[in-house]
Amino acid sequence: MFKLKVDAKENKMIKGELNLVESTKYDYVLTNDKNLVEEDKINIVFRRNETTKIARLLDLIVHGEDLFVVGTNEFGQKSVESRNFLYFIVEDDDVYGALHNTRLLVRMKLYEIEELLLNKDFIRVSKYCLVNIGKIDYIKPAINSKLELLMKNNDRIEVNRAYLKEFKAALKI
Amino acid sequence: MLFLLNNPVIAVAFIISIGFSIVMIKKIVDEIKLNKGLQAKHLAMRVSKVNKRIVKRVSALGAASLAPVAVFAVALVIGLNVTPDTTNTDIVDIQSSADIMNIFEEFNEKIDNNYFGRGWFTTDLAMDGLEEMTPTNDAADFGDNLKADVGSDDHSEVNNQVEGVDEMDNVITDGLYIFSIYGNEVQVSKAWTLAQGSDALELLHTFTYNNNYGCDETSFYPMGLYEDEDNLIVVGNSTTYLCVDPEDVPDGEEPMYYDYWWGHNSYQQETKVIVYSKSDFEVEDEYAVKGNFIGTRKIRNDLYVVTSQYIPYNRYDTEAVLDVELYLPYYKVNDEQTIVAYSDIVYVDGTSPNAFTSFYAIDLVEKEIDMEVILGDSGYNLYVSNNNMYLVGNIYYFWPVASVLDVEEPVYEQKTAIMRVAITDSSVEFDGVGYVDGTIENQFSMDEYQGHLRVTTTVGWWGDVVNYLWVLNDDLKIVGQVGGRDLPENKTLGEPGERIRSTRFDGDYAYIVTFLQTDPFYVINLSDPENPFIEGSLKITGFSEHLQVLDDDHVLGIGFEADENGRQIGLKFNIYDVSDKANPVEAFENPTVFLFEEYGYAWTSAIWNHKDLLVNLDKGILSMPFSTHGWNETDDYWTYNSGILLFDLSIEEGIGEYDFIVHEENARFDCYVYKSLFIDDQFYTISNKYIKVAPLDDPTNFTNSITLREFEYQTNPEGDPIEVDPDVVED
Repeated sequence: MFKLKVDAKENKMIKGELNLVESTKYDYVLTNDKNLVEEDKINIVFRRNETTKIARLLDLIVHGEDLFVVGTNEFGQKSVESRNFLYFIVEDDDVYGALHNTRLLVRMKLYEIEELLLNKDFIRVSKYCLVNIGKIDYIKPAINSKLELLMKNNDRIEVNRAYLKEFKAALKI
Repeated sequence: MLFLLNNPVIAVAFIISIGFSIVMIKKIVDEIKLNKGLQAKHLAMRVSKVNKRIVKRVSALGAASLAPVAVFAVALVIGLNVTPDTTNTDIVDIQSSADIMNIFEEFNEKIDNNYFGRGWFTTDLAMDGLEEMTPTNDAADFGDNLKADVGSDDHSEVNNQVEGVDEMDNVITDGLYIFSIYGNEVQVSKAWTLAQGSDALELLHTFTYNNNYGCDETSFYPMGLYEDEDNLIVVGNSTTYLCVDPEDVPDGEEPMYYDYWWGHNSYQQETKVIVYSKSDFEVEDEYAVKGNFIGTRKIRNDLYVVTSQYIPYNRYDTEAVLDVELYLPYYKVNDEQTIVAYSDIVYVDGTSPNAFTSFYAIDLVEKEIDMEVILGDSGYNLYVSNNNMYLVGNIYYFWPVASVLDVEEPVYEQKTAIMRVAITDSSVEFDGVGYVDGTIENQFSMDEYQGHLRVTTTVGWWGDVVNYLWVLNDDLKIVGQVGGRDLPENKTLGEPGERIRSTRFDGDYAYIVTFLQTDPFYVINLSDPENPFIEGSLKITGFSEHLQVLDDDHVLGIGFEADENGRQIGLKFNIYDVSDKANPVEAFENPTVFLFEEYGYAWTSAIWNHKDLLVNLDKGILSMPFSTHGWNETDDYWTYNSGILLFDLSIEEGIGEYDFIVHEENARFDCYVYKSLFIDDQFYTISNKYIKVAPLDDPTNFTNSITLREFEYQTNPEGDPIEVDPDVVED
């Protein structure tokens, strides 16, 4: 998504300050030298002391707009930013959104949530489950060619064989 | 690798474990890829906390995947150097026949050994109503012959291994009588009296025992004799043949008896001890103990007997049920029977539970028997000291990892187990097991001295042969050894490929002969049981099969002469001078050799039966049975010359001139002279036909002779005479 064009001596340091991951295909060029801008890209030219502001800007670009999902639990109705959900799962025809310490009953179909969070790095891992890639703590290949996802709250989610290819593609594996 | 090839099940398990490791490694690679991808994704997603657990996780997985291979590798190393845990002799508790069956089943599952398939078992045999039949001991009628005869105290004794521990023999004398065994007969001959000397020689009586076998017959074969002040003691095997149930015999057919068959339950075997009074030669007491005879000794008034009763677990008749009770050891004192209690049976874990090996102590004065029964493979060599009986057999040490894996054919190692039974005051008690590598040659391979058991063994048969001398302490743990693999030449017993051919222990020293092509004669210093060492050795041609200690400085060797290729070319008798233990030498320049090319094939039973050897330095004699074959050119037939070789023997002169004493010269048929003895200054030779006597200083000039039995001759269709075994000599 991003390409950093700074002096080689400072590259590593600035990349750290920006929490930046470069990619070969990119839309944005980040540089502190206006001569290095690329015309067909979106160029962000910054001064050396503005890395904190640029980091926040990059968060916005990557995360996009905040997207809230509404659900209910024993304490009533809650509106929670989508990034905080670990996964959405169907149980007894109800859809629940799992958070670290609670879960919300969501009045939407799972495919509706999937469409809603299309650009939010959620991925379908089975017919009944939509997982937030950002909340996967560890991936364990199981003997039966399935994958087991250990989530940040220690819940375990299984990646069904049918969704395996798509899952690996999402991780660019 | 050889270990794996020899143990295919383990090899397959090993391959599986390698396969498992490969699968696991692939899984690790996949897992690393997935989680690295996840990490990259998280970075791209600008997730603040990126997981670092992958390193720990991969380490654990790596260890897990390699663990089986590592375990096998370690186990393999242990397996190749496995030694039985001699610190823990597991005695298994037995309370019932079911316990014995369980022990057998467990052992058989472990070893899957055809060794058990020795015979078959059936319940069809007619056990009921079988009456014990006492051997036919003809009532002795000695008339006035036993009155007031006085013999000589100066007479030869059995050539016992251990002083104070008597061994039975087939011919013995007490200075008055000669008692001899031939076939199913025991004969009592008056040999020498104070009044008449050897003129008194006379056959007094022949005890003939039933040697018929057939339905409900009980036969008795005397195997050895003891005598003491008051008694003649005959030890033998008694066999009662069992018949099929008469109801199962078709009309018109003879009831069938089961012939002898190895492991066949067609007969009942007892070892019998018949005690005759010397005053009238009537039976005084009769003892019977269950099982096949293995060995016996007599210490003062106690007679020790070891027997083995095979348990035929395997059977082809699937409907038959093994009744262990039928095989339980028992003893009888004058027909009063006592059966062993299950709780008194000892089982040492690992030994083959295919037989009851029983040790009996018979108190001939109190007329009591004590017994110790071991459920275990019967031994093949018995050594008895004044304090203990040692029976040597095999033990299987199971490879522990194989047991854990529960593989079908577990790995085991066969060791030599030495069972010790303590003998104290007419009682016997199991007292532990020791283990050594290799096989034991004979009873002379063992010796107990000052609380230590010394044992010589040989591992391997061809080429890769290793010889050992082990020293075991009072707990039967190895504390010292001489010989072994990969040792310097001065520590090795025998040249490459040589086996131990004879051993003789004498206090702090052991003399060992090994042989393949030459005869290294080793002098081993055992004064420090924990650090025995080869003090000296001598290399000469030929080898000794039996070593007889003459005095502290001289050892007599009896064996074979050999050429430079190790080929036996004659009988050889020589004396080793061991006065300088570091430099043993042949005491005399020219050993006595009977070359086969000059004498025909010559042979003496003294090579394998030390009791056929008569050595007496006081009398200056060395004698033994000796036989050669010849050829009668006139009538074209083989002749057989069997006699006694009687040498002059002295420490100073060595083995001197000899006389050859035969009973029938150039005998057309076998007249086998099998024993020699002396009473006073008379030399007696005993054959299957005669007892002949001559003065010791003129041994071929017989002064008296008696005929023990006549042989009948018949003619075959070609007109050649055929010798017929003598019929039972009727009194």
